[in-house]
Amino acid sequence: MMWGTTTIRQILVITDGQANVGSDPLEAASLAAANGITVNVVGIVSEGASGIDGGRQAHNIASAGGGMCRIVEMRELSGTVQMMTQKSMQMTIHQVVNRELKSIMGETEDSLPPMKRVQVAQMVDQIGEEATLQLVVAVDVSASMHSKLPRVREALRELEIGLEARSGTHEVAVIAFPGNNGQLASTVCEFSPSPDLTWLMNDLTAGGGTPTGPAIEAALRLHQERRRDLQAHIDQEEDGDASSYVV
Amino acid sequence: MGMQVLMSSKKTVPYGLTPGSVITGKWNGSSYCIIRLIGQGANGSVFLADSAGTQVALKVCSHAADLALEYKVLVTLAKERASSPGPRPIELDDWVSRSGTLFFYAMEYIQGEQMESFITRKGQVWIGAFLLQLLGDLSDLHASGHSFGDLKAENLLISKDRCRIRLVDFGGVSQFGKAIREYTEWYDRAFWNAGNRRADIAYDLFATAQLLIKLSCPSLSVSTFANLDARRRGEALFRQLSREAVLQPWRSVINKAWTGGYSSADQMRSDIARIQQEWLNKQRKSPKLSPTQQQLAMSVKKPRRKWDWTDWSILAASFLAAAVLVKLFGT
Ligand SMILES: Nc1ncnc2c1ncn2[C@@H]1O[C@H](COP(=O)(O)OP(=O)(O)OP(=O)(O)O)[C@@H](O)[C@H]1O
Repeated sequence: MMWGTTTIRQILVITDGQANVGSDPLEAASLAAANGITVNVVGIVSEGASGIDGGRQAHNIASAGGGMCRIVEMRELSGTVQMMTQKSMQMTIHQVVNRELKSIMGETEDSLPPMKRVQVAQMVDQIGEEATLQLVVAVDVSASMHSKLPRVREALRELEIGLEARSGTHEVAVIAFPGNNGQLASTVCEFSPSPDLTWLMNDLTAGGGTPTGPAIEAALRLHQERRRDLQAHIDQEEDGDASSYVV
Repeated sequence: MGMQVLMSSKKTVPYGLTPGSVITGKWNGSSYCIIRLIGQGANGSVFLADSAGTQVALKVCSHAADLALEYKVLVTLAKERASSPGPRPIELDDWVSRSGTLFFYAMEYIQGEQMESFITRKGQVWIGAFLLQLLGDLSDLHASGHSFGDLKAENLLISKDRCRIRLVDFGGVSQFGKAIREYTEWYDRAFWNAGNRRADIAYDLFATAQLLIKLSCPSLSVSTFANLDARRRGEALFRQLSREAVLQPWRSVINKAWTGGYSSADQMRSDIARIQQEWLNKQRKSPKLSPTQQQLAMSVKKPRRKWDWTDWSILAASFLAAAVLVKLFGT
């Protein structure tokens, strides 16, 4: 199998509230999932609170997007972003491996005898270590999030450290919602191995609404554009037997 | 696979496994009777259980792959060495419960005390002695091409039977050159901006230095530093440490581990042994020390053998003799 060039695509939504502007976030998330892109959601609660406004919705978005959801306090943000991204990658690879196992042997990983399962787990682990990750982080920058942005920035920096330690390559883009100039969402960092996050500190003048749906749509578009660009690049190099295994 | 909801709050009885519940393996058919919950972490729950009259530890988890990998690490290490620093693995199996299939492995139950509480009880004089043992174990692990990864006080037990340090939770063990699989902020080199998060010898030695600091100054907390920019954290920590007299002797070791100055666990080990020795020499000469403190100081170098019946009978005999003498010559 050509696992060396496996590409995993994810969208990570960081928010502290209920979507209330624009298209339905659930629809956007399931559209992403249908395109092979996993949507994960981190909801931030204030210290001591039991949940967030829209906590159920956050879970539903992740569910529609085939990803994970976690509701955390500010101080847990860094660890969570890092852990979720890593776990979600593993999950995606497990899904693909299970599809293959099912088609080859009519069995899934969990129904294998334990010691056989160890071998599969080792393989998945290896693939995860070497896979290419493309991640779009959609950050809620509505009024209530402003005081939290330094920590979000810190969490993304931590994530970068984690990704840097892998042998596989990665690219991260960042979308802010609501966006600048009256847009519902705008790209603030293009795909890059180490995105410039300084904007997260500076003059964000965003208004009150939370357009989570449009943000996921924008993230999906960003992924599709990137995929097309890379494809065009491959075609240009006339790599006839493109061995990349796209998840 | 659908959504995976990761709960922040922990349920009181994980997987409904109350004392007396019985788990039977689907593949090997062994049965385990739950005695009590020992610990709960991010990746599962650990129970003390009875298996045909023997006490074992069971790690139960709803995620098969992580558990399988962790078990594999234990097996590999147990094969390589006669006495592994970790728990001896017994078996990996599935349990079909009413609410679905769960995954578990059985391992040796290490009867012991968490290192932190041991030190609190017995005194900081023990820190050096246990670090020497730990570094010996790390040196063996490194020889097999792995970092321990998630080294922290909570994962260190002092066994009751031999007063020996034992490592638990091998979920963080990572092959050199690969990303560290699991980590904890206080012990994580990258959190302090003192290097990357890739497995190598120095990663574990950095964590060992952080362990030394944590055990010596238990009041320090990672949350004080988490709010700072990563580049300021080290500076802020060292400012606090400069006020801690207990750390004075260890300063050079900590600095060296922080800057990646050790290329092997053995180097750090011999530095600690030397400092420990110097400290002991000084303490022995110091008249300020109470006799018990002096004894403790001595015991680090040469562990006192346990008192057995001969000691007690000598003691009893001398009391008796004293009593007789008082009777005879008193009044
Ligand atoms: N073999 C054992 N014998 C005795 N106690 C054990 C054993 N294994 C684990 N424990 C206890 O159970 C606790 C939890 O175990 P462990 O750390 O393996 O779980 P985890 O889910 O990986 O936790 P973490 O979130 O810390 O990674 C440990 O801190 C330790 O005190």
